[in-house]
Amino acid sequence: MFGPRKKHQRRCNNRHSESGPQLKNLDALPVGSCGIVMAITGERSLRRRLMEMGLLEGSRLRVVKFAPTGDPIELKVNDYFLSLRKSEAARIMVKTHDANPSS
Amino acid sequence: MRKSKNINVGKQHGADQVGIPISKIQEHHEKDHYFVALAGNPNSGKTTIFNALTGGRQKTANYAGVTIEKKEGIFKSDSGKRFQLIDLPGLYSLSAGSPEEQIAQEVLLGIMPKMKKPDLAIVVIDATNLERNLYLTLQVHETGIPVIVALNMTDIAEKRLIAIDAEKLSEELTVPVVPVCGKDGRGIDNLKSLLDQFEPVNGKTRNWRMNEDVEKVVADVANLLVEEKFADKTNADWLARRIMLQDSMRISELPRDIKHKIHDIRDTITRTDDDLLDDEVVSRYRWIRDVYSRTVKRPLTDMQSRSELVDRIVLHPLLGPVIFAVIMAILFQAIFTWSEAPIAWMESGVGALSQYMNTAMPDSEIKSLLLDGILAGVGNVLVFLPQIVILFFFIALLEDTGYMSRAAFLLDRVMRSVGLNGHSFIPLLSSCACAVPGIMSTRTIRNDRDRIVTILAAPMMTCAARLPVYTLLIAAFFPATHLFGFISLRGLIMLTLYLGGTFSALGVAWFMKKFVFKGECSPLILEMPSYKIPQPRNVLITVWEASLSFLQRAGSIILALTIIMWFLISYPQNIELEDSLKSQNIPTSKINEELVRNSYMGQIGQFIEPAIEPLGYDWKIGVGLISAFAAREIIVGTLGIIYSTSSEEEIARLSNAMKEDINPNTGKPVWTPLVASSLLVFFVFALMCMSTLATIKKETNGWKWPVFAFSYMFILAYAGALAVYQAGMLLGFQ
Repeated sequence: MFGPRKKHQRRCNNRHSESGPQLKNLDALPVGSCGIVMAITGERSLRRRLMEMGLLEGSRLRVVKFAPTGDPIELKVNDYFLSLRKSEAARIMVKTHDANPSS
Repeated sequence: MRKSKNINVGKQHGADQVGIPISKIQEHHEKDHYFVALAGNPNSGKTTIFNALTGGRQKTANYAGVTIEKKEGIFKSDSGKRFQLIDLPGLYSLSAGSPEEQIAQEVLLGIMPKMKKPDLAIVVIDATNLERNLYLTLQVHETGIPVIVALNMTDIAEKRLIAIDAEKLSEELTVPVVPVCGKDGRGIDNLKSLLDQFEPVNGKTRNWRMNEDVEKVVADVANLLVEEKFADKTNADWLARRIMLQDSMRISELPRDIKHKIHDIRDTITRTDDDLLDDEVVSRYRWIRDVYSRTVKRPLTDMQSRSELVDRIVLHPLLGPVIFAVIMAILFQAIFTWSEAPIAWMESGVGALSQYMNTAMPDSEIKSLLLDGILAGVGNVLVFLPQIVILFFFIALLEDTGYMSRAAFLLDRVMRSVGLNGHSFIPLLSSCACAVPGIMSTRTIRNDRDRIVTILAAPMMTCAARLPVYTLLIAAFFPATHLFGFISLRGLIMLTLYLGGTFSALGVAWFMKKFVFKGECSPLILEMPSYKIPQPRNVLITVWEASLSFLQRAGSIILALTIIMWFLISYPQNIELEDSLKSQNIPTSKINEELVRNSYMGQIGQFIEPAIEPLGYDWKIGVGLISAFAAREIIVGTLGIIYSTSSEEEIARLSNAMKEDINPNTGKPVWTPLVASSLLVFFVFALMCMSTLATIKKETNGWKWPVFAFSYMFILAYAGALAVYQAGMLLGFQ
């Protein structure tokens, strides 16, 4: 259980029936999805905060877990774990892609 | 060596013509004392480094006008230089606008009132989280202040096989980078000797560039600011960008003609404000990522973090809340029961000292002052220490291990429904034992508004001190019957009162958030740090600091008020009256009642009698209420004095004496179940605790909030008791 994962074990689990990457809002992604941030919409100060935390175009993220009631959401962003409310996550446009082993 | 004029544009009242006071650029010569700011992300181990440098010698205060903590300490280097360290609040960025960020910015720029500009800043960064930590580092550097980077948590980085070339990083950043490990002290000596030998080099403050057109505009504004003497060369670039992005709150308004010129410059490019914002953040990160790729080597597949595995259980949909409930139950139990023994020791210690002094000294006014005023006051203060120590011990443990953010994560949804956030939970829960440590623990709440709302709601939670009052009144005036054969009436009333307090507290919080402190819930954006083993030194220092600041700042107020109470009830002394009453063979109980009636306290009680009559109270209850202001449970003792019983051992005697008391004006009994109900409701709501008020004053740095808290709770208490009594009278209960 502990230790480095073997290469073939992927933590990313992008479930989409169609092939190819998709552009979605972060709050709509299920647990295990990986993606790259494309844009952040919405009110300026919130946008700035999210970007300064490292959520900007090109950042890799993975949806780790939901709280018991489904809100907030825990993500892995670049190197660390960050929790956002669904309303905050909704502003983040993410391009999901095939599992990236280095997430 | 560089010298610069003291650039200080004068302040003109009323007009919008206030300049930005700039302090002299520090002359480069050997000083022997330095002012150093410590900055870093939350969870970067900054506190451990601070503690390692200051050895625990620190004091906390508040920044002027806000509830944000200011932590300072002293470090003496080997060569005898003295460094005054100020630990800035943990920040992710200097420029996003919250009060903490604003304060940190002002401290670094040297425009914080009553504080000089720091000579240098140490930025503590988390080696396992380099990109985000470097963002703040760049900002601190850009304010023009000399920087030393402490690359912390190198041990965890090693475990994760992340290799950082500190020398290369230092070259890229153009500032010294010292690898350290706060946990085992590695590298701290290097940091100390670097501090000792530090010579600031005034180099470039920005290595990354935005789009060329934006850069030109920024440069123009910066030059303008320097020309007009609103900035000097080291911070003009930073200030220019703050002004362009309009994200500084307290940097003073510039004169109109300067504003116009800046607008003109700004209008030469067609970028929107959002574009400019993006450009700055994106350009910084672009540069950071570039540097990262050249200075850091890490394995292709990240090792599964152990924290993620632990979180599978801790944040499990079912187990998570269960674990949380268990931890909270332990916390609560600890505050309630583990403190009983130490409190009992203290009380018996004070009691023994009191006994000794009682027999050793002849009766006199001074003796009474010493025993019943000063010693009692000291006892009143000390009695809170066990609970404070226990609560802060647990909080330090939870914070240091990283569990606090998991708790906030689990609670967020629930707390949001009353407009609060997860960090308010522990303060409110501890306030069920005692509001004093509960209010002190609101330090963990970062948002100023949320913190004040929590502080205002906390005293409303049913605290332990209310229980003796409830117990006495319920036992005396409500029969020991059972509803439906098994629900004890007395138990039900107690439960109702208990829940009443709790729900009122949440209701008050909701109301305040909705109408008084209007504003949306602050965003969550919560980092979940990796789990760590708590550092004993950090925990001990936290507990020590909390206890000391309580003793110094709240303790003095409690002591003063105890002495005042003693004075009010003991004076004016009237020996002749006492003798004449004794000679008339009036029973002792009545003598005491007369003596109290004659005291200042009694006089105040009679004075307010007309105001509390609608609630069903007489002057004796009034005296009880006034004394209860010192501490709720004192009313039991005061009533004991008035009715001449020693209430601790003889509750039954006291209740009988109370029930037999007849009001001379109305001929009716003073105490009835209705009166008791009215009094109970009063106690549910009223803030009858000078210690709580003293603590609120200490934590909010002023008397405004304690007065507000007392007033709103008093109004609720009065209205509630009034409603209960008058409605009861109307319905025919006597």
